[in-house]
Amino acid sequence: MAQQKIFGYANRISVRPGEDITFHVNCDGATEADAQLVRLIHGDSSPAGPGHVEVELDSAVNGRWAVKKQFTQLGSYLKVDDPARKLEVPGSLTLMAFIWPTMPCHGDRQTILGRWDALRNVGYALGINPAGHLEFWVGNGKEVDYVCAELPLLAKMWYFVAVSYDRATGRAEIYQEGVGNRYNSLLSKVVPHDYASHVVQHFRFAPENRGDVPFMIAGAHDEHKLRGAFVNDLYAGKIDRPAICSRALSRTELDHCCKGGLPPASDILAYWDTSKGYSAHGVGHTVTDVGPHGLHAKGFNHPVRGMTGWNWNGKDDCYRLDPSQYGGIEFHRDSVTDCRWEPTKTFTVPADLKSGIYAVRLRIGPGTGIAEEYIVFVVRAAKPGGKLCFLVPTASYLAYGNEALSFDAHIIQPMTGQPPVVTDLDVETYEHREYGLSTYDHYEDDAGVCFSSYLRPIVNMRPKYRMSSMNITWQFPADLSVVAWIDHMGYDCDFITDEDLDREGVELLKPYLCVMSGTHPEYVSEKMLDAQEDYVAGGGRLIYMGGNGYYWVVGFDPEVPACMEVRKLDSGMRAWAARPGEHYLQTTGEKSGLWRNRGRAPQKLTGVGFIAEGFETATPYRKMPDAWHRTVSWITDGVEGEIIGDCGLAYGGAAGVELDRYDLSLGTPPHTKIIASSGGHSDNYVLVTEELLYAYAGLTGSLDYRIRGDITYFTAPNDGAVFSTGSIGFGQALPANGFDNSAARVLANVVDAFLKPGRLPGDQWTVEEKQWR
Amino acid sequence: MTETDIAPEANQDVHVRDLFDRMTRSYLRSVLSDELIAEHARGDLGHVSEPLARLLAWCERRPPHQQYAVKVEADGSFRLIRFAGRGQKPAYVGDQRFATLQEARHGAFLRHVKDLVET
Repeated sequence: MAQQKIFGYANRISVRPGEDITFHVNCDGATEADAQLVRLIHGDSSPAGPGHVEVELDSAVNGRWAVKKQFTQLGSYLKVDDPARKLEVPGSLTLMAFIWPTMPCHGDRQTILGRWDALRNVGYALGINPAGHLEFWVGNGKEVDYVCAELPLLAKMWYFVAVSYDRATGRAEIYQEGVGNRYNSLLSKVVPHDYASHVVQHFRFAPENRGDVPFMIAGAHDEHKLRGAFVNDLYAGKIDRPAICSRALSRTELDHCCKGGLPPASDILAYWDTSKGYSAHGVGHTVTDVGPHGLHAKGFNHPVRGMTGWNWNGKDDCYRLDPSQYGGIEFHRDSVTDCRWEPTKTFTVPADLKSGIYAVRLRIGPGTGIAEEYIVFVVRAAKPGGKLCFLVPTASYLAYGNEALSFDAHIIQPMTGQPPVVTDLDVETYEHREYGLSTYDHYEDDAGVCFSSYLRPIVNMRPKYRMSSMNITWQFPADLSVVAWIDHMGYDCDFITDEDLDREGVELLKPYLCVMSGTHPEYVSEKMLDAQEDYVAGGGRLIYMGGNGYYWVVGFDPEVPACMEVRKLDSGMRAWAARPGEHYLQTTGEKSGLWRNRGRAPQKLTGVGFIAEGFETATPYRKMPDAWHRTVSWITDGVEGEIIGDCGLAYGGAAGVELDRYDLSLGTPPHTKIIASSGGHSDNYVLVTEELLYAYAGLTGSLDYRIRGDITYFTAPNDGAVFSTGSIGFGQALPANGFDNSAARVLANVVDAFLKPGRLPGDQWTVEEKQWR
Repeated sequence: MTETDIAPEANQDVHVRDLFDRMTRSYLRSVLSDELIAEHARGDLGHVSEPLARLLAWCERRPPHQQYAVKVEADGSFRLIRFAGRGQKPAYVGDQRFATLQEARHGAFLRHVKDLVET
């Protein structure tokens, strides 16, 4: 019997009563699954807390679901819309493109462009053979003939490649020339390498064409008995301005194209000008054919645009300055942003389902481990009802979706100071890799992952999951500790997501007296940041419940809002670094990287910003002098002594994991009070890189006073205010000791005050000499 | 290919790393003691002695295929594994099962110590 495993995703992450949500499920080893709608309360199995808590609900969605094996197409590619079969070329042809391959010598075939049926060996294509040589091949359904270049291609070097094929004579000439300049490629001209190759062969037969085979760029058509049609022979690297002509162009004509010239207009069948389509707001997924037939190509699994092209001069560092230098489209063979599975079940959310975090729990066989799945979604309020709002940081969930740092990142053990603790689920996800990567991972070609979507199973966006490298809950399951506290306290709370806020802006927040963040709201779009800033300035009360928040500039794809984009660059604690010239989001046109480097450090909104991260241990906070200030002493009412947060589910303390501090130089409001601060962290806690000008010994927890988490508070216009915890671990401290602990007490004081309209406690104290108790 | 053309070679950085590793191991062997191992066995996290901190730093910075991780088994016990490379299933190391995570981590530490003194 096959190993039993079940995985799924939903077509949306946020849904209102009365709206539909559709679930897509892939199952091995079973044909039916037990489905149960549950409201998720707590998701951390740590013995220091209440354990996993969920509430089963009566629902029409419950019962036995028919499930089956579904297949996922890995890899990004372009598919040409050619309904009139203009590219079913009956005669001679020329194929050409600028390419920047990243894994040319990988031992398998890669298609650059063509109309090739890999199952039946029919058609034609220009690509890279398993030995890494440029190759043109044709097939008639019985045999394959080919011509290839003499030298293997070098990785990360720009080439102009082409083939001229004369059907009448069978003559095929490969054309390969290096087009590297001082900036666009890995190696400079000081390297003595001959990039050129020109080889002629006479083919024994002409290619046949099948009508149903699509013309593709960066992939080729294939079929499998169970799976059906799929894309194979995927290419890794950049392609710029691919084209096809209806004649065998001469060497002289190709020399002209190699310099960036267009082929003779009368011979063009299609010329995909990959530099077209850019605006100040980015670029979409359609690649424009400027040829006579308008055979535009569409990207699948998010080919990366906004990338430098063959003619990048190193001076213009953004496609908004000169899009003609940004014709590079980068393809990755293990990219997946939409599994495109058939729907398994659609559910209409009942009108009376209260706002909250829900999941459809699916179980097969033993119903544990990989035989159990939770497809998580947020139910919004039909109309804003509660005074309190929890902003579910779904962009950050996407950023970490299916991260595999324990397996692939050499830095992870020095960073965490402990060996990873992996489960069967981690091994299964890693070994098969069919559900895509996180923005903390690299593709197999070593490029950083800049897109992440929820149209695929995300195994760490579920209850019970512990991040293997740190052996604590992280992001979604960690945020459930805050949700559990809200539930325990009985607050009437509405739940919204980052995606909702990006789409609807500050109007979404205005009905609420208080908005709470998650424990690690690290990835933030401009619209999300604007909305929260405007909300606070307009009298809203924000509780920043975490650490390392409001950090990365991200964009949601306007065509696929389920997909988020980030580019990591310049500074910051980052898993990869975008290459020079590739720092701008294709989804919005903005420069990505840190908000701090765009003039909007987190301190300006929350009072605190990222200063250090560490693992293994956490500490409590100690009250600072401001805690006794009459304007804010109400925050620590009921907390005897100086210590706050001396227990918790994340390493036993409320101040830990990732820490934020007060910093006037970065825009902390000048009247901000430091209520409490941690300190004396272990040397596993290190200073963040964006603080570094010169590195020197001792930038660690026991030697640098800056390494601490600060609990801060400041008032804003119109009775607004911001309270910040300055630590990821604060949220995971709330459930400790049956929710009876000093961190929870402080938070309750703040939420209770924030949920009362009008003036805030302490604001009547105005004369300085009376303000100290 | 021209006469002066480049010939791909293995990354020469590996020799430099080996030299550094030999120097590091030499120091670590000089400070390795029963007391150091006992300090790790106690499971004190965070602030540890300098020799132990340096030994742990060496363990954590070894090449990926020389590092150990802990796998949680279905019965709640723990076993040691080693990662096998990108996309490959990790391999078990030995057949010992540990009752607690702390014991498993100390087991991984002892494996590193064995590697340090025997290789």
